[in-house]
Amino acid sequence: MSWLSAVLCLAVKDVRHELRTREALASMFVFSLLVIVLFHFGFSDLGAGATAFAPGALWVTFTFSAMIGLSRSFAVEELNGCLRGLLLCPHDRSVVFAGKMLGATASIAAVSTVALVLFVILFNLPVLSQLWLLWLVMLLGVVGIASVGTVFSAITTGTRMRQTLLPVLVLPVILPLVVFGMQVTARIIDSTPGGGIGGGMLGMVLFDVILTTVGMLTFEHVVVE
Amino acid sequence: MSDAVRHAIEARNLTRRFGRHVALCDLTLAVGEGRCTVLFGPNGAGKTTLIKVLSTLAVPTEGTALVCGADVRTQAVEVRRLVGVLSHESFLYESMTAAENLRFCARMHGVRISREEIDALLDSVGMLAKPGGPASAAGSVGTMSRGMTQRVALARCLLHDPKVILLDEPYSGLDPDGAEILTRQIHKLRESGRTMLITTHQLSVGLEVADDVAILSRGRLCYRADRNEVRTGDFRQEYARAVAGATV
Repeated sequence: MSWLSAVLCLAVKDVRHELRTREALASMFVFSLLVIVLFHFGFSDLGAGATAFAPGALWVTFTFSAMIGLSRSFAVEELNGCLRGLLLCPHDRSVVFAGKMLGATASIAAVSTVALVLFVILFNLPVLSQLWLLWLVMLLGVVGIASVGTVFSAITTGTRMRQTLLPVLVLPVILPLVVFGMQVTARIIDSTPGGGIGGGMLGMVLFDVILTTVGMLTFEHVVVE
Repeated sequence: MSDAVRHAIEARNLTRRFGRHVALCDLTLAVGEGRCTVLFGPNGAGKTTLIKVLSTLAVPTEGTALVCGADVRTQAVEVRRLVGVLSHESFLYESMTAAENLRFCARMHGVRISREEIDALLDSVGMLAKPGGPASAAGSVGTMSRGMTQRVALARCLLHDPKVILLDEPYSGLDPDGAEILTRQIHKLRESGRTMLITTHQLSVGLEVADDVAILSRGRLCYRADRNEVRTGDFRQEYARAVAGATV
């Protein structure tokens, strides 16, 4: 079995598990909805000025709902020692990293897509024609967050403070990625012609590549005793 | 044929430290092809650590370990292809059925398996593939008893037809019926010529299935004998001495 087939097999298993149990999806969705509604009412007095806060509010929603999803990502592998079962498969351990990361990306991206649409509607953002671009920026952010989150989620698996530790460990690492994401989102919302979107997105792609490569290289050392 | 290949499992001067704690200390052990070696030892003796090292879940600090001639450090993927592990943990997803778990595991091992083959495998470990029976495999693993879960775990362990089977405290949490079924399965595996290394602290069940017996205490191998050459009473005394030594 090729590396890619094993990665896809693991990712599909995670997505199916999530669709069946809806453990992370439901929590992420409710959290995102609450945050968006809170921001909507919080900024409603500002009228058109609320747009200035939209990128920050949007990325706070993406980032923290992703934390909920990531904290569940390895919880399913913790029960009955399933992670050890995966590590016993005759593959390089990067398969487990990539499969879990892909599965987490799918779940987080699904919820973030719904959150993005709700956000655009509630904040009345004039970005309908560029919604796909906003979605792409969100996806770039989600890939990086999932990649860092997968490594730290594996590290914190089995610790009592997992839920608390995960954001504390992940957020400092993904901070530059989130900042890039917010800047690009702000420019798309402002409809700044050409306004550095390419550079920002390139920065995000580079970050994703670096974070994913580091994740793949370090994962073996994280999971093997 | 080299010496390493004649022994399906060979550990040479194996040491594993966790910080200042020494879990395995200069352990040398060889298990011949087709032999069933039962490794006894009290809690904390290093039995699970040895299984983890042999199955590439843990890296030895010093020394070498070979499985069918493949080094656990440098040929880890090959070792994982050769070994099947049955532990007190089932490695099964509770939200999935037994068949779904086996299908997923088969794919991850690169094994093509049909529905009929999965049913046959479940049947071979005493699980009925059809719903309604007392050992039905139709429900999700989360709804199964410990004994049934362990049978599915055994099917999972055998799925890729491993040459070497490592059983880490397989009787843990099983009731007498479950233990008896597992013992029957172990006998079947012995007859099929597979090499087995079983760790347990339950003397009676361990002695029943062993070709060779060994005692591990404080990470050191302190006793080793052919089962046919040792009387049960003598072995019990030997084990009691080893446990007493470990708890002093």
